[in-house]
Amino acid sequence: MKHLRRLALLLLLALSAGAGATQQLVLGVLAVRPKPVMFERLQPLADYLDAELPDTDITLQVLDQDELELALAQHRLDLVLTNPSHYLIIRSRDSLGGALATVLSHENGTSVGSLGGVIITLEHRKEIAEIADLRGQRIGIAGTRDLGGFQAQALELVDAGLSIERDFRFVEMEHHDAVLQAVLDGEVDAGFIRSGLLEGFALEHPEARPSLRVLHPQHLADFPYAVSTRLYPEWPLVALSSIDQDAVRQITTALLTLPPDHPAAQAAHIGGFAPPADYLPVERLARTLRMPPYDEPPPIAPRDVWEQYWPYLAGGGAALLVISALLAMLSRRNRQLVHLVRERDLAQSGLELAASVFSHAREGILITDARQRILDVNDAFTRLTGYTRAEAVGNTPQILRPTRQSEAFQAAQQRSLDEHGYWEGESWSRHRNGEERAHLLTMTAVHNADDQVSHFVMLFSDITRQKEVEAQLKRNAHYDALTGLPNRVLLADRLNQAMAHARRGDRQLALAYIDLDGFKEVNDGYGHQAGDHLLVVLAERMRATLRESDTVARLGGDEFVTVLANQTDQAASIALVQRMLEALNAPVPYQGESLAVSASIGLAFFPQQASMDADQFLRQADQAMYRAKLSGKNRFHVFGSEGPALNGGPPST
Amino acid sequence: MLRRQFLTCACGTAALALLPACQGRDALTIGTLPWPGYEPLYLAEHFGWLPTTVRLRKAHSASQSIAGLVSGELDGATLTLDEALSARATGLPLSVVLVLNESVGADVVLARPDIREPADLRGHRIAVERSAVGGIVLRKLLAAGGLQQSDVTLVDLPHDQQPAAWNEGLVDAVITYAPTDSQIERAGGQRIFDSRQFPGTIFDILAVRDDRSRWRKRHVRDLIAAHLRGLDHLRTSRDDALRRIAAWRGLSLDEARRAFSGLALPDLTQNRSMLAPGGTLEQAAANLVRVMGLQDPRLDTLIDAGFLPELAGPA
Repeated sequence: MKHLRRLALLLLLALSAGAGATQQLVLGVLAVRPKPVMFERLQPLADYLDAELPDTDITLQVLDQDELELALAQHRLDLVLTNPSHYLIIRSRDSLGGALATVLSHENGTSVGSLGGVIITLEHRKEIAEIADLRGQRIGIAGTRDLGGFQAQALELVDAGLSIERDFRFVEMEHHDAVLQAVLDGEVDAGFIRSGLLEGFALEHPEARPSLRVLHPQHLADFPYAVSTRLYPEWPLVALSSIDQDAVRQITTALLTLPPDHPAAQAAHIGGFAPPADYLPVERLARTLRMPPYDEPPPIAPRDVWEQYWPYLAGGGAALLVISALLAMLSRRNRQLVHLVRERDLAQSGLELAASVFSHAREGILITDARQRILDVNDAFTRLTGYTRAEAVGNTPQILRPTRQSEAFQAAQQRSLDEHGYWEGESWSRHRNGEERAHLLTMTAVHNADDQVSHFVMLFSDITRQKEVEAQLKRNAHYDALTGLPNRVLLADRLNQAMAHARRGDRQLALAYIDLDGFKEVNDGYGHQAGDHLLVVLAERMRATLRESDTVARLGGDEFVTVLANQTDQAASIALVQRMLEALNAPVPYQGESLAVSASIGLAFFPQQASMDADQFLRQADQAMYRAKLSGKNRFHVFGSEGPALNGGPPST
Repeated sequence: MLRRQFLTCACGTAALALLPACQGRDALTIGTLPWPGYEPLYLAEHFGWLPTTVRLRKAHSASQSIAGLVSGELDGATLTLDEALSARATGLPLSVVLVLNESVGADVVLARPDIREPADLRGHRIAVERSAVGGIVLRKLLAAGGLQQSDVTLVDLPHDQQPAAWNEGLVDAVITYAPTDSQIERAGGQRIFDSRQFPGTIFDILAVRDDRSRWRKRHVRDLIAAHLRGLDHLRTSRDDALRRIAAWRGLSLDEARRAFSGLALPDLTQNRSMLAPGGTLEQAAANLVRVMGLQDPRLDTLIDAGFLPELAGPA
């Protein structure tokens, strides 16, 4: 059949050559769809060109990939309409040939000069949700030299971390329609087709479309087709170098001026032609995938070579053996030498680097021997500690007068050094000028060949600022900003601790709830600044009255609470409260004025017979304070005491 | 190495405010906005070309990006050159490492139809945003018309309020840029002047904090390489890139195409020459510094071309 057609063609060529005047051009088109469909679609285009070029006859041939290759190899084609990946191959063989124009595909009134690849599978194959799920599946393709039918999809698969060679079983088919059918019939698990085909197929078979699903859909504005890959330029119409330049000009003009509503364009389902696109992205794609024409040259079988050249090869081989043996000896010597030199250089540059790190590091570095005698320090050490190298060397790190080092801390440090060979943590010591500094310190034990500790290396940086910030943050969270007294949060903590303590021991705990009398009048009469000043002074007086182990906290406003720990008896607590009343009663001088307030104090004791928590304890003291207030202020009341509720009275004046 | 350990520990124990900056200390976080000149970065992100150590943080405005740089949340940002200069003036250690785009027509002056050229603006009201770019366009506009500032009435209007003011007839001309310009053009504004008349002035750049890039040189280099790869995709696969960008921004393909028409996006070679000592960017910065009246701009440390890739163009 094929032979017959070729014979007919030759005959045709011979006839027209005889006619003389007209030039014969053959337009070869790659069959992405069945040949009759392609003929029907493209014959009008061939006719249009034929009509536009007066002295030229244009014949259309629709060829599958192999036929097209053969026709090209035999120089039987002058014009080729093919996919861009195939165009690259043609261009690599016929470097004078080139694209005259790029097809504009047409859909619903929009023309696009780009195409992409589509990956389709059956809708009900839920296990194939994304392209990674294609691993190990059978995939129908129409040949690997196809852009929209293979290479475009291949790049997305490679980008998803899959291997084209190993991860799939590709089944080659005649054309894209066959791929589509194979997916529908379940012969393959997925198929690769070019963009636009699916939409055309859906028009012809609306009933079959819902059973197909497009994988890895791309979001592209105004692109009329579903697509699974990035976009590439559409098909080029290629002129081979066999055509003369006049014809090239005429064909190009005819292509670019083909209007979208021309019957030829409509039959071909295209929107005409645009000036040739830049096919660089397609070239890059082929290079990335190592596809023709950018693949490796096919290897020559060793047997062919051997059969033809064996005497030379044998002789050469023997000579080569001798030479390579000599070379090997030479190169070993050389390597040994190079190795020696490099080792020396490495050691040298290693030493230089170490020395430079040592002197330029921003961290203080201190090196001692095994008995912790300082051997050397760097400049940063001097900057951070105030001690010069001369002062430090020969001394032990004790020169830094470490502070806040409990025995447990030192033991833990020593244990870490013994067990792990290093210790890392915060340490406090004194600068030469007496200031206390915080350091982040790493101590490392250096072992010699006998696994004995030979040196210690300490690296440290100054974190005093950070510690200050940290302490400040802690203070803010636990202390009252105005008076510097513990706040409600810290009070709760201290009270719980004190109660736990009191439960275990036989000591008593007293809680005094203090509310100032007449504070509002001071605030209203003299202003808030005066009120603040008063609170600060009274807070200080209360603190002075109490012992170190007691806590006085500000609950807010003019309310204070003291926790009196380790009381021997109630009388001692009452005496203390009495003193506090006096202290609060004394006037506070402020800007030439004298501010005077008094206090009502409620007192409660712990432990009691009934068990209770800190909150209940505090409420008892609060209630007692309230009784004191009701009873005339400037006095205290003990919770639970009977009678007139007046256990204290105004101090003698 | 020790330095990094120190940094980790310090942030673990001390000021809480430092925490966000220290998390994932190896990563580089870049603040960016939807602006055509920055799209190559988004393309790179989409195709997975950004190094895993780089994160793009989408901001709503440049001031949000700058706040992020100040707070330490961001290590770098895409900014206009004048924004970078003002940020530096507040003490932020910021360097320009890449030019993303130059305005060649994206900054425009639109006027009512009876105003045909800059000289016709005498006695009219001009809306202008109080920014360095606005100031520069205004200066160039007045110079082109042979006018003094006293010859016109300036109305200080932020960008988003310009169309309303135009529609109510409160102003006769507007100094603006995309996409506001198309709104005003649709409402009858005529283009009488644009940044094509004064090339080499308005730039968008990538700026990184020096204290952050010092330990992440490689990430910055990879980020720039990724941008250049995105830019290459935009150039060679223009149709693919524009359709994607249009889909992200809710534009039509034509609108996306137009958005790029007033911008020049320099490639590696152009970036090399722009960022070179005495190059276009340094000159533009010196001009901006004069217009903005910045004290001690330290222009010698503004540009760091050391992160650009060595070879010309990706292989």
